[in-house]
Parts: sequence; C-alpha cells; structure tokens
Amino acid sequence: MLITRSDVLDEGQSIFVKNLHDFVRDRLAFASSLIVLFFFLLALFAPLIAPHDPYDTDLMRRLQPPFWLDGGEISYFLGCDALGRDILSRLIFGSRISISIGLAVVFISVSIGTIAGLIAGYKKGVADILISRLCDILLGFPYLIFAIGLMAMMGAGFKNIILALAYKEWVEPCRVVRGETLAAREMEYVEAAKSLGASSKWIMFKEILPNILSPLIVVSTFRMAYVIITEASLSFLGIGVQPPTASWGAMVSDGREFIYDAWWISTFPGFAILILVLSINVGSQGLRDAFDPRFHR
Amino acid sequence: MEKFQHNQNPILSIKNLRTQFPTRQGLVCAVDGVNLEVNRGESLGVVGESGSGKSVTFLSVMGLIRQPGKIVSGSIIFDGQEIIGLPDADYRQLRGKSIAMTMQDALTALNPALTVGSQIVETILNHDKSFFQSPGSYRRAKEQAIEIMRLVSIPDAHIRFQEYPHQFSGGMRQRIMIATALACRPKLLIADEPTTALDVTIQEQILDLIDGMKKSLGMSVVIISHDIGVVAQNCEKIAIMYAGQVIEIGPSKSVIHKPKHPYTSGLLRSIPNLSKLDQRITPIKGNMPNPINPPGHCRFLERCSLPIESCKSPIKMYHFGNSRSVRCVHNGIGL
Amino acid sequence: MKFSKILERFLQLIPVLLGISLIVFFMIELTPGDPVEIMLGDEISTPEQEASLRHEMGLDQPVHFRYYRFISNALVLEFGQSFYHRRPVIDLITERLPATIELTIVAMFIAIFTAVPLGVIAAIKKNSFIDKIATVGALFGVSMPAFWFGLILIMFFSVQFNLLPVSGRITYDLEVPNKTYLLLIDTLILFRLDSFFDALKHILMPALTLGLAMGAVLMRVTRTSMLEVMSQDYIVFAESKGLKRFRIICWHALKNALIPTVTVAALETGSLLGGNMIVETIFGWPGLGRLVVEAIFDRNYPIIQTAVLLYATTYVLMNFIADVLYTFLNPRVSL
Repeated sequence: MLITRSDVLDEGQSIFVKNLHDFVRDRLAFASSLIVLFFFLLALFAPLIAPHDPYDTDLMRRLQPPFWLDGGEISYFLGCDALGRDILSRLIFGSRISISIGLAVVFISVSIGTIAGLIAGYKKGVADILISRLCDILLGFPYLIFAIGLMAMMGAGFKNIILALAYKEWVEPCRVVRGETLAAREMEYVEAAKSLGASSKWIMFKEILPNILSPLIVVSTFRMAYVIITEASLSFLGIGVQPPTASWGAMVSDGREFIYDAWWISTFPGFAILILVLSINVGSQGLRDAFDPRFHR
Repeated sequence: MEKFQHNQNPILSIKNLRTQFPTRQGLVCAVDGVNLEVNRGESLGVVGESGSGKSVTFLSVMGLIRQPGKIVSGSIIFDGQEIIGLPDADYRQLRGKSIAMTMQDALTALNPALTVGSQIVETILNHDKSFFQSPGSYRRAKEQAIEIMRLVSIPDAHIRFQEYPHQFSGGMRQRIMIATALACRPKLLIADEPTTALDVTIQEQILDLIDGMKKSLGMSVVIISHDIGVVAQNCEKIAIMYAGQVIEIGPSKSVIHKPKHPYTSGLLRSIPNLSKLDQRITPIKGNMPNPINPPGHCRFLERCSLPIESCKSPIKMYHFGNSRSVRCVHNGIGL
Repeated sequence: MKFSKILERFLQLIPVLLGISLIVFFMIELTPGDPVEIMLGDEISTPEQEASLRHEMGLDQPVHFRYYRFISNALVLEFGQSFYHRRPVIDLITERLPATIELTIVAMFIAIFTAVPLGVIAAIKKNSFIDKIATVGALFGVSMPAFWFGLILIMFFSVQFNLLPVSGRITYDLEVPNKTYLLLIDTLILFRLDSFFDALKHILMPALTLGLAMGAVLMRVTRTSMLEVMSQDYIVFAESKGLKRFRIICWHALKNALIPTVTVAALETGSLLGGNMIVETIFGWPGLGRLVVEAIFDRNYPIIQTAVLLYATTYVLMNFIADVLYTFLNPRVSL
C-alpha cells in the first residue's frame, strides 16, 4: 500500500499540529539534555558554585528554614540541616557523588559488558555458554539485594559502591551487545572482512562494534538513570557513601526524623534526584527515537 | 434466493466516491471519483495495481476507513439504502450480516489467540436477534459454524473447530476466513485479493469455492485483485482501476478480448502466455502518479504510448453499448 | 497437560540456582570477620569453647565440605543462627514473611488494576488528555526514587492532613488474632470491620509507594502492546464482521495485548522484592525487608546472606512462572 502507517497523522491532529508536536517533542529531549548538562556542570564546578562549605557545621543554624519561610535567610537559600550545614551547598556537592558514581559505573559496566557481549555473540561456542550462564545467574539477583550483599562483604565506601553496582550492571549492556553481534555477524561486511583475512579481534572491534554503537549508547543512557537511583537508595539505607560526604540519598535519610518540623531537609535532595533522573530518561528516549531506524522523520 | 434480474436495483451502487487521507506529506486522494455498480447475483472483478485505490474503495463501502482518513464525498447505496453517514450502530448491523469482507492474508486476518470456531460463532451470535442468548443459541451457532466449515470443504470440521489459525495451511485458512465471512449468509461478499497469498494450485480451488458459494447462496461477489487472470474466468463484469479512478469497465469477455484502454491492454500483454514461448513480456514502463495532488489530466499520460493533445485535460468516462465504459479519448482505437 | 515439559524446563533452572548458591556462599566466605568472634561478642571464652563452636558451625572443614553443608542445610531450611537475636534465622524470617507478602500482594494489586486499564485507555484514545497524563505519569513513576515518594506521601497525608498513619501494620488496640497471618484477610474473616479499615489505612501508602515503579512500567508495556494490537489486520477483520466495539477491545484485542503485560508483571515482581527494603524502612513495616536492613547495621551476616539467597531464588522462580505463563497464553508458542 502506498500509504504507510507512520505517514498518516495521529487521531485528531492536522498536519500543522503534527509537525509542531514533533518539534516540541524534540525540544523536550533537547531541554532535558540541557538539564543533564547543567547537573554535570554543577558537579564539575561545585567548589566554585556552592555558596558555603558543605561540611561546615554551625549549630546556631540548626534546622534553619529556606529563605522564603520565617527565620530563613537568603544566603542559606534552601535552609540548613540538623547540623546546621547549608542544604544548597550540600545539594551541589551531592551532585558530584551521584554523577561520578553514575558515570563510573556505566563506564565500567559498558566496557566489560561490550567486550563480553562481543565475544559471546561472535565466537559463540563455549565462551557464549559460559557468559550467558553467568548473565542468567547474575540476573537472578534483584538489584538492590545483590548490591547490599556485596557491600556487606566489602564494606561501605565510594570505591566499593562503584564495584558493587558494576558487578551486576554489566549484564544488561552485555545482553544488548550479544544480541546485536549475533545479528551483525551474519552481515556481508563481516564476511568481506573475513575474506580479507581479518582476525577475530579486528572484526569484533573494528567492524562490528562501530555498527552497534547506537543501541549501545541508548542502553548506556537508560542505565545511568537506574544506577543513580540505586546509588541514592543505597545511600538512603546507609550503606552507600558514608557521612559526612554529602550524597542526595543520605540527605533524604537524614531528614527523615524531621519531616514534621523541617521538611526541607528531605524534600530538596529527593527532588534533585527526580529532576536529574527524569531528564536523563526523557533525553535518552529522545535519543532512542532519533537513532531508531523505524522512527523515520 | 433472488433470481438474477437486469431490471432489479443493483445491490451496490457507488457514485462519485472520494476518500482521502491527510498525511505529513499532503492529502492523499486514494479514491478520486469512483463509480461502480454490482448487480444482484453478479460477480464483479476489480483489477488494479498497488495504490490504485481498489481496496480503499471497498473499505469505504464497509465503513472501515479509519481516522484521520475519511470519505469526503459521493454516495454508496447498498440494497436501496444510502450507507455513507450511517450511524455506527446501524453500520454494525450491516457488516457481517449483509455485507462481508475477506482480506488478503488469512494468517493476519484471523486472531491468533482465538480458535477458528469461536471466530465463526461470534459472528453468528453477534447477529442473533434474540435478546437472551441461551445455551441453546450457542449450540445452534456452533452447529451452523461447523456446517459452513463443511461447506467450504474443511475436513473433520467438528474437530478442527477448536484449533487455532496457525494450525492450518494457507489454503485452509483462506477457506476459514471465507467461512467466517459467509457465516450469516451475506448478500454481498467482498473478497480482497483472495488468492494472492496462496500457491497457484490452491488459487483455483479458492476461486471455485467462491463461485460455488455465490451460486448456492445467491450472493453478489466482488473480487479485488492485481492479477487480471484471476478475475477473468470467475467474474461476469470487470472494472479496471488506476490512480484512484475506474478507467475501464465492462463484461469480462469484452474487456479481456477487446480492451479499450491502453493500460488494460498493457496489463493483458504483460501476462506471460505459455503457448507463445518466444514472446517477450512487455511490462508497462513507469509508475503510477503520486496520489497527493493528482494531476488534472489523464493519469496514465506519462506511461501511455498513444498520448495526444486532448489527453492533457481531465478525461471523463465514455459510455458504449453492452455496458462498456472507458476513460480514454481513444476509445479503444489504435490498441 | 505438558507436565513433563514443564518439569523439564524446571530442571533447567537448577544450574542457575546452583550458580546463585555458589555466589552467595562465596559472599559469605569472603566477608571479613570471624563468625565465631562475632557470635561470641564480648563474652569471654576459652579457646576450647571457641574450638567447639567452630567445629559445631563446621568452620574447621575444607571449602567444598562447607559448601556441601551449606547447600544441604539450605534445602531443609536450616540457615544458622542470627548473630544478634540468638535465634534461628529461619524463625525470624517466617515471622516477618507474612507482612512482606501482604504488602507485596497489595502493591501488585494496586499497580495492575490501575496501570493496565490506564494503558488500555491511553492506547485507545491515543494523544488524548488521558494518554498524555498516563505517559507523563509513567515517566515520573520510573524516575522517582521510591524512598522519596514515600516520604512525600507521609508529609502530605500524615503530617499535613493527618489522614493516614505513618507506620506499622495496625493500631495496637485493634489487633486481631492471626489465622492466615495476612491482616486484611484475617480482619475480614473475623468480621472486625474497624480493624479492617485500620489495617487498610496502614497499608495504603506503603503499597502505593512500592507499586509506583511497577505500575509505571506496566502502563507503558500495556499501552505499547495495545497500540500494536489495534493496528493489526485481525482487528479490521473483526470490525468487518460487525462486532461491537466493546467486544473487539475486550476480547480480540486484550487477549493478545495482555500477553506481554502478564510476562512483564511476573518479571517486575523482582523489583518489588528489592523495593521492599526501602519501603518497609520508611513506613516502619515489620517485614522481611526491614529485617534485612536492620541486619545490615548489626552486621548480622546470616540474615543478610539468607535473605539474598531467598530473594534470588524467588526471583528465578518468578521468571520461570513468567515463561510458563507465556506459553499458556500464546497459542502459537509451545513449551
């Protein structure tokens, strides 16, 4: 049929609105990427941006409200926590934790996962069976539980969180890469390379890998959101980053006992997590729409 | 069972039908001024290539054009009643019971998650006039369904009743789809590409089946196909469609042996003839014009081997005796 | 039915379960700290007492023997003693389990019965107001940290409006004796309506928090699946039979569309198992999750490890059930 489904407009829309719709949607993804970038910059330049030292305790300012409430002051914009530390500054420094852990975990897990996936998908055979089995076994552990178990084993701390999360996180990129590799290895360019005498390593990394980058990027961005929430959850439970380091999850936990009198201690850090993760999700959805060949523009 | 009478009203009368789809690229005029008639007890073959508007025409008849597409003008009279603009509830009364349709690929047309029997029975029960559906009515419907399965030559119908579509072969599935469509003994059957998804050997069986059912149930039939050979033997009347319009129509023997439109003769020439093994197949060069903003002149102009000056203005249908009509200034001369 | 095939599939789980047990075992092995020292704590003990305790716990045996002991004990649900409580781990777990089960079931209920209809409606009325709300809601649902959402709920409904209680399962003086250990059922069986509503008020916020992420995912899956199904040929064919819209959606469409939903729901219960811990902590829910969190702080390794083993095994079983369910729902796929 000459009329393809994606050409026909959605119900109730004129051509003009549909174009507008696409534009706005694109704008949304674009706007979210800007927000993510904003958080990145926040994390990078934290010491220059934060108005106060996040570790500076001042018991006189204990539980001081945000500036728009009675008793607040502009210089302590979002109020102070139980130890008199400025919430805004701690938020800004907290972004360092969330983003650096997010990036580190995704980087490590995607690297390992890609290599494992390439080998499993291309070489098949014993390597594939082993790697797939390992993935199945690791997938059998609910995320948080596994991380907790590992943290209990290794102890708390920045480095350990990254490792603990990466241990399970590599499975998802591995699965995606394996699937893509299995498909890619049947393609002609692989045969062409083989006939030219290319080694397996060459084929895997120089031929197949560049062609599966797009789904890989999409997966990575999606997972980053998940990692950030998990790290925050771990910190909330107290087994993540240890005090006095400011982590958003820990800040929410700190504020738990004060939700009656000082709601701002828990609310703002959680809100920050929400905004960051939401932006990452919207951004990566936009990415997926852009990269997915089925969504032709 | 009504006898075929020339002076009776046609069962289906399409006048000046226009159906359009707004798309991102523009307004697609899929059906652009179509006039067709199907007489009672007659079988009409509608031939055209992909995009000619043949399927959309009859989807419009069924009232199955989905938003944002719509019928913009024209009239469709079925059994004496105008059905464009008919309220939904009334249309549903017609569908399945008075007009029925089959689709090209039976595998996708039948719900894979439901047994074939249930899909036939639900049509029957749906049109069951009784208010309360007693257990008796299900049993009767089931018997009726098995009966119609036997009629379309499905062996062991009472057992295969509970099987799923994927458990049948392509030809069988097509029969089941036909059985489903005929379950309520409709007055008009529209068969959209009934043979396209099937092996050549099965094609003839299906066409014979449709013909048989037509005779025994006294129905009128429309067979839509891109293959003129398929409709040639089984239809009394043939209509050729091109770029959203009917360009030739007439009794099938007349159209096949004495085509009046360059496109029709081109179609006939491109059928390989086994008795002339050294004959070259001459395809028609070019493509159909873009359905968005169709040209005002003859739509076949770019591909025609006999263009003249008067082809550059809009061409109307020229009518001849013996119910022949053609949309071409040449009227068959020179072909 | 195909019981032998189900069994066969089940047996394929065993290597995975073994692998899990190996990992958990090594987690135990590699955890720092001498179990004996931790158990004895500050008590002064003689080397002989230590040695005998060591022998009792099998710690003086080689690795493979310890693993074997670990497995054989696990199979009879013997998981050792809690360091902190000086009681068998299995007792502690069985005590807290019903609370977690009840919470999980109610959360699933809420998630499924809100998300699935919402997804269906959003698909049918694509791009309408309700569709936009559903899509945005789902996006928020996956992006919102559960622990924060729970706190916000508390701030709203408990602190601000004093409508719902902050923690626990039931108010002390409204407690009822345990029959099924599931409060909502027990209170109903015993006709204690005041207790029932009290328990309901207690479980509402935790269940909402726990169900949020799952609901978001389910809504999206249902919507996508429904959209795809509605564009299938068999829906058009069903309409051509004149079936009522309600039937087409609820019978033809849903039967196919819900298949991915069901499988995803089964799989997502794994996320509920993890989310337990956070939600139970916030709402002071006396369940397994909170036990684990407490155990983390007490360095109560036997509980942590047993919980890991238990959760993982449950998750694998849920995946298995999801697979089997899928084959039952989709007639085209057999085991």
